Amino acid sequence: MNDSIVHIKINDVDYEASAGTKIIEVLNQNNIPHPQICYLPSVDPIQTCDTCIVEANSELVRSCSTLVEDGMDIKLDSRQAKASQTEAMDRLLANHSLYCTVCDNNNGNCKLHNTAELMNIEHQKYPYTPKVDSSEVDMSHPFYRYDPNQCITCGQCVEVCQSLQVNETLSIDWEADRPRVIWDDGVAINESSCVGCGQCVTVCPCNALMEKSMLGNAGFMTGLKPDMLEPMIDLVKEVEPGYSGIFAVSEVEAAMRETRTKKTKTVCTFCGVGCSFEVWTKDREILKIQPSEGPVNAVSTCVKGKFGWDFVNSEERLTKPLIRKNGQFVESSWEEALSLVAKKLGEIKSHYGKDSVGLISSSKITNEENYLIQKLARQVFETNNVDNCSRYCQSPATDGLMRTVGMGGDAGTIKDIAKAGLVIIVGANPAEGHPVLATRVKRAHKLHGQKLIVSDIRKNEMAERSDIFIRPKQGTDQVWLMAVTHYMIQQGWHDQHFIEANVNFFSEYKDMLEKYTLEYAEEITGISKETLISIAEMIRDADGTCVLWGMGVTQNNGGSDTSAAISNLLLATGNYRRPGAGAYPLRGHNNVQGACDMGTLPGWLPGYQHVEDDNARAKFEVAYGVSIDKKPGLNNIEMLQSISEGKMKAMYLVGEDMALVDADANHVDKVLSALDFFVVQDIFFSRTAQYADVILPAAPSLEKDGTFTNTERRVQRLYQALPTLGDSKPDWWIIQEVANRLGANWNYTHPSEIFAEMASLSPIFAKANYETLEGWNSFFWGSPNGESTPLLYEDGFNFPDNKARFALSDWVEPYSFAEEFDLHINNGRILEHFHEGNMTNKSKGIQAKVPDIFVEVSPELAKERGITDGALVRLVSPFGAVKLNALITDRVQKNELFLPMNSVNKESAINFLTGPIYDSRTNTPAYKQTKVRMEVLSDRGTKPLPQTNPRDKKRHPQNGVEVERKWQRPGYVHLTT
Amino acid sequence: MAEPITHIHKPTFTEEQVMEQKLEVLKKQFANNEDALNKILDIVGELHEIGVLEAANSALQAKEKIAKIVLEQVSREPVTHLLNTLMGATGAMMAANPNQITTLIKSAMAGVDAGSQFVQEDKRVRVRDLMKTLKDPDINRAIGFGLHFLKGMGKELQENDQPQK
Repeated sequence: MNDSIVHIKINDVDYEASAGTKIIEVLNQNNIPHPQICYLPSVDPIQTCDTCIVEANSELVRSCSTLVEDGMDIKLDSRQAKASQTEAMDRLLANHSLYCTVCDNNNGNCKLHNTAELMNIEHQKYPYTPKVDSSEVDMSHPFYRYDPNQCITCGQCVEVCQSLQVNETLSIDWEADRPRVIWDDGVAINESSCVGCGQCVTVCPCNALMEKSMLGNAGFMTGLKPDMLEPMIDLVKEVEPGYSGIFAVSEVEAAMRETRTKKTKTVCTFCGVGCSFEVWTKDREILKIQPSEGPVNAVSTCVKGKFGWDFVNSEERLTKPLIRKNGQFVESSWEEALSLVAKKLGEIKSHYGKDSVGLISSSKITNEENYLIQKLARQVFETNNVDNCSRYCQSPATDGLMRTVGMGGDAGTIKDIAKAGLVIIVGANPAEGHPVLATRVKRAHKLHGQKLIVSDIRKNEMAERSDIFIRPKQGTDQVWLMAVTHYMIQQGWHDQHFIEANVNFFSEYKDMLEKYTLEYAEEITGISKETLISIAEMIRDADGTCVLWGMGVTQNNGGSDTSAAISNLLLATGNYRRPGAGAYPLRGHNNVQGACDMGTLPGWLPGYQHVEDDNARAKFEVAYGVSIDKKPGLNNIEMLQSISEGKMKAMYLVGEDMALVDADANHVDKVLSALDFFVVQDIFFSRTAQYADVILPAAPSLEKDGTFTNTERRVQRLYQALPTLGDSKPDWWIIQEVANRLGANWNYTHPSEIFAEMASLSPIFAKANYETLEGWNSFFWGSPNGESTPLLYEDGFNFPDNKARFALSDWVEPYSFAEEFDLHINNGRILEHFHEGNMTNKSKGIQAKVPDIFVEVSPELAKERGITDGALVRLVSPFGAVKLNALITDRVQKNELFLPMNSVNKESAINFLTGPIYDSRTNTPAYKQTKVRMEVLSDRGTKPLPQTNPRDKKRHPQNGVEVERKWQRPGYVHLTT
Repeated sequence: MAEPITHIHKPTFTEEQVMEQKLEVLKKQFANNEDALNKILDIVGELHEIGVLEAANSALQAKEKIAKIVLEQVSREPVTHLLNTLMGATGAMMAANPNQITTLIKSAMAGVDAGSQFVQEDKRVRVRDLMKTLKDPDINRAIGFGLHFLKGMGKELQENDQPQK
């Protein structure tokens, strides 16, 4: 991109613009209204609609695809330009019936309506005729419909499907008599490879693609039955007013809608990517999710974020405090429940001492709420026994980064990932676990020459798309990572200059790598020498390498060391301190990063200030008026041990289904039963809540204000979209009420005050506050002086000498099982469900796509055991057993099984198989190191995945919308010169 | 030892209790808005007395039927013609220059006055008078206006008569 300035004239007025920008961008930057139906900034110019044509230096050109040049004379409304724009609009309107006032898309933001009005269109030249019989309106998908008779074939939906989401399902049948959008090769939407991300619906400039939740629901007159609606449309046409008259009426109606439809910015709660969007509500009803300007996602979402919010209004929500009385839970008042909680917890603390109470916080609740939970622990209960669910997933990644580069967060942003020359994904499946982040890799790979290496035992979508896909033996990633680093150093492909200037312990590190030869790596991992060399060459040749990793790395007994090995590789090759490079652990939950940042960790105060740091502790001691223990508290796993040993007597747990998500769930059941007093705070009656003495009903993200921090370290505000349901309350309110009943005297009236207190005690948040975070703004922590820092380490690494450190850890062999356990069982997320699924399983549409849990079995193994799809199998590990139906797929190979984690049932949840094997440095359970034997209960059955699920459907990739095919249509007359 | 509980005991209320709870809420709202509610009740009483409520009630109940009848009526050709005529006339009026129209109307009124006066005098107009009056500047101005009016109207008629491109 050339930064130099050019001078141009627009309608005889002088303007300055950056060279390399498009005419339309200059118009929009200067707020000059101009038609642009198919222009979508997130993708390359689509060029189908022609409404943006201008006269530039006496030539008619599309302003969306023409770059400004110095001295360019641009006329927006010369006679010729106007004629072209009007002809273009006339061609579009022949495909679209204007019944705006009774249209569900008439909400003030209908692009077609607004453009026709902007252009002062009064009549159309070509009469509207429907393309197909009205029976061909496609209503098959649970979440959206397509009406070909309203479709102007602008192709924005196709462009985002092919080039932004890169699911490659939609195309336009340009060769048809009347072109229209088709799914795959023309099948019904619900039978296609569509994953339901909803981006096509979001970008549709009219009502051709609509959320079903909007239909008949958004307007005052849109719910009319056809026998009323059709005569009304006919009347309007018979009377033939100029369109300005129709538009005026529809605008009045749109203005009325504005008063009723509430649009609230929120941050998604379904993964760590941090998509933000507006939620449109009508009373408690969710009309739709409308992404637009989110700094991470722009117009993108996944199926959960766009459509998966039914849980908020679920009948199963907890709406009253519950107290265990005589073997059942009985509804109570807040006063009774809170008093009981305070009384019991207070008594236990005074009777058994400070460490008899443990607190477990949540990676789903806000930063402010996490801050208060650690404050409750440290100020009121005077203990460091506070932890969050990152213990189950992310602690090893944080550990690996803390040891090497000094900060436990992603090195840069999603833009750096998109910009990298090479992306390496190790043990993660972002296409399902972090869908919108994955789309940016898929786009860069498809369109911008980015290379992709995937290391995973399972062939996921990213693996299918990769340039190199390796399937190392389970638990051996560290070996190939070290061998590749070793080989690169041997070849002189490392960045000697970067290392000398920036990294300590290089010679010790080189010595340690001696053992990790390509031959050794081939023997241990099963990856050939040649492939390892290809990987090394790809890293050598790349302009920036980003490594993305997930639970496939961290949930191993060597999870922390493997994370450190990734960071070592990046340090050795100079892939830090620059854009388009670095380490990116993919945080799973929406606020797992924030929960850690806020200090719900046994060893860390808010803002990554260690409890052993006397200065930091002293600061909090003054603020809290108590002395804080210098010794780190117990983590989740140690708390359970302490309960078993009879030391910890009470636990206050927020928003985690520990009885499902902790490894060795059978054991967890017993431990929770042993507590004297157990408080669970949740939005649903979780499995863990069954063991509680008091259950406190909390409010989900849509019902409160606060902030979340995503995987990029980006803090974003969410605003309350709905009132709390029943008697449920925001977590921060509940925590404050408990604290005050124990004498804390907190007086927070809004989360902004909590954030301000946190920021005043945490230097890395010093310059963050609710004003700087207003609206779509965000803040990245990462600078010791509290500046927003999108790219870490620009001023050096986070150690006193500003130098990073090579971590010196050898690979440890995975846990070994007795021979009878002959099958390895892997587990992970699937796209449609969030985590164990207790939120997403309230969505009828999602349940229709994935109604059940299953175990993936390889075709080889299925043949060997004589089973087919739907066979019922029992899987037995040394720690437990589950029973479920088999799905035969080559996503898994040989003796490897895959069990998705979306189960709330003891019969099928993975953690009734996993055992007490832990990462050596962080105690994170090695969920991925589990082996089972399989018993066949019946050799066939119904396939557990319905025919309408997009998996295994063939995608239809093409180069975007392929407008050239439109231009080649017989009789097509160009409007440009 | 806390055994897991899978059942939530939700209190079941009798119909009377539910009614009682709802009345309690209503009572509070009444008490808080006493003045406003009294006024509304007065208005409702008046409306009932003159029969408005009954009519409105019936109309509301028959709303779909009525809407359909209205729709049918307004969709008939004479009505759509009328609507088009009205909209056309309104559009034309909106396009005209108000100053010109004022002058024109004033002039027409003056013409009517002079005309009425002439009729009352009961005189005959001869061809010679006609030729002579052309020299009268007032009459000449009126005839000039008439001729140019006809020209402008004829031109517009021709343009509108050509087929649309």
